[in-house]
Amino acid sequence: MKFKKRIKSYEKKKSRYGYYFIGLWVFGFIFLFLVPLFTSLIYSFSSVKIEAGYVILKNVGLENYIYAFTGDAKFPTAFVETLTTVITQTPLLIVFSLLMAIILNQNFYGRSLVRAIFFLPVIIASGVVINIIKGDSILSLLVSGQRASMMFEVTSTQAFMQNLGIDSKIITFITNSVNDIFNLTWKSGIQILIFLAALQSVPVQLYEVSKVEGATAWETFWKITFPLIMPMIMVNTIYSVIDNYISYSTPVFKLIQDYSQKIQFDSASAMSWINFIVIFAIVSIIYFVFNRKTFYLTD
Amino acid sequence: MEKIGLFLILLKEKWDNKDSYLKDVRFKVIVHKVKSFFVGISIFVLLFGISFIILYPLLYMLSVSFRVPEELFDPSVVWIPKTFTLDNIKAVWDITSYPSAFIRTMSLALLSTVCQCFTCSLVGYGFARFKFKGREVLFMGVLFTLIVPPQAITMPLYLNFVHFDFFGLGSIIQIFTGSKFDISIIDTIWPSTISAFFGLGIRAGLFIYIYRQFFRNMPLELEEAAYIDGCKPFKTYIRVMLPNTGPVALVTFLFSIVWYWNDFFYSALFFNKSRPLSVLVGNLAYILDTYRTDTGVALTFGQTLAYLQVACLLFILPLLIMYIFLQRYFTQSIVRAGIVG
Repeated sequence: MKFKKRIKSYEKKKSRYGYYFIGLWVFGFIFLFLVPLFTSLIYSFSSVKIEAGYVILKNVGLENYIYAFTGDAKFPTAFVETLTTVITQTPLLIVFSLLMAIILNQNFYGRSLVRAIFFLPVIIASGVVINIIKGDSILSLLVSGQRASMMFEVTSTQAFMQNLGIDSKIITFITNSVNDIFNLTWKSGIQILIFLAALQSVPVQLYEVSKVEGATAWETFWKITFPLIMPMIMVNTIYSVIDNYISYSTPVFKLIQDYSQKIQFDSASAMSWINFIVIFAIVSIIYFVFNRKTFYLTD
Repeated sequence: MEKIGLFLILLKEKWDNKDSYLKDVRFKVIVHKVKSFFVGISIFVLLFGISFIILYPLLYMLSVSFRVPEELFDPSVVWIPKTFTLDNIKAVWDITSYPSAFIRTMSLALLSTVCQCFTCSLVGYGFARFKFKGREVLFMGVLFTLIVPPQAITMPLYLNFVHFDFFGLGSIIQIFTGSKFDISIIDTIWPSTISAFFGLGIRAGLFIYIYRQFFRNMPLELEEAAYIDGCKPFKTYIRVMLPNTGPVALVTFLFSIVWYWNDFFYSALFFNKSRPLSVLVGNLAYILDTYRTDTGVALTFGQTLAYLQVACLLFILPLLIMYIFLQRYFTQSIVRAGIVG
């Protein structure tokens, strides 16, 4: 019998190469990501005992999840605290980074120096150093009641304002916002960079046209710049949410680390999955909210 | 007196009879100049303040590191230490055995970064230029790896690497030799390297996304020309696409090194005994506490603080040096990489 040689189209031949190119990643994705993910899912639904280096599982259903919310002493407060911190900090962070990026986009003397300084937090704050700077990591000192970081403490200003007789609520508000500026500045390195790139990608002709037509700076911003950088605002928001949630200083993370070190894998898995579901929900909400309002210049 | 009054009336008439257009413009120009002056001043104050917030911890670190610990709380010493000492640095150097930790961390970061650059570029090109079935779904998977918090997969990953059997090859060999072939690669740099090589390094999904955007923005004609000249896709990739990835590869390289150097989570996970620098610095408070009980030498509060600052300084010093030399590339390469639009 003669088999007629099937002539594959160029597209089909080429598409096979696509698989070759991403083959490495698919392999890693399955073995180093999906498999551990599902194993961790199974762990969260069972009670885990480690004996002689091997894991013994016993299915207990949703008990770990319920325990995390009702039984565990520290998880509910840590969870709520992390959630509120992330939700309240992210809009501030985005607005702050946008403002900084707009300022940094202008032409002024020493612009590259300022840009260099502003990007420094990314180098430093990505990891452990920021904790030490903030004074978080000196446990013995927290126990003894002394604050270990003498930086950016506004206590003397607080006392001054109290002596002046200003209402204590306003004092706490101002103190918190000032402390917040420190946090915001150190967390906004990459966001500023992305916004800077986005601002520079807006076509200059639009600005020229608007100037000819006589638009004020305010109108220019809201009608031209803002819609065109909407996609990057969404990207930045999602990135900030994820970054803040996975960072090392959130209470939930510390709790999970605690449990992992005590080899209580079941509770730790359940908590990390709860974490993950929350992040996923928030990111999906952000994505859908932004998608309806985004306008792409070139589609 | 009347002369001055007449003179003023004359001025007023002249002013009134002037062309109202010119009057308007002059007035507006003055207002504009005053406004931009004040705006300039406020921007300067804002930028200066925020730069101060950013630079102050660094300067503080520098200042404290060279100070005798007793002077930490001395209010008369603001920036320049009264007694200049290198004792703090020596002490931290010994406690953390800095040279070996440094070499370990550096090799980890470099090797993983190189692997990541290689893999992310390949994968990005695959997603950008080839239409195969399931492309969208798999790319969703790429973004998915960014969203999942690492805590959700750490423990099985750890167990995987403790009894590492080369993804099932070991069990195949077991069929032949009858004994289980798995080795523990914890405490080496291999877990991170293997993860990076298979496209799952730290924030690898982000790099794959960046590469995909970049390759998408490259003109299609280049590849068609290469095809006409007889290049298979791999050759096209190596000869045509790769030389153009300068800016993007630089972005990937720099960010990846910073993230691997600073990483605490994966380093703490994969290393138990010989820890890289990030873990050492992160745990320094505990280490200092145990040092106190181990050697019987009590560290004063000031000494603890000073040692922490020195450790931070030693830790970020390589990154700072790299940043000073390559700073221009950091900020400009993201713009040039064209990840936006």
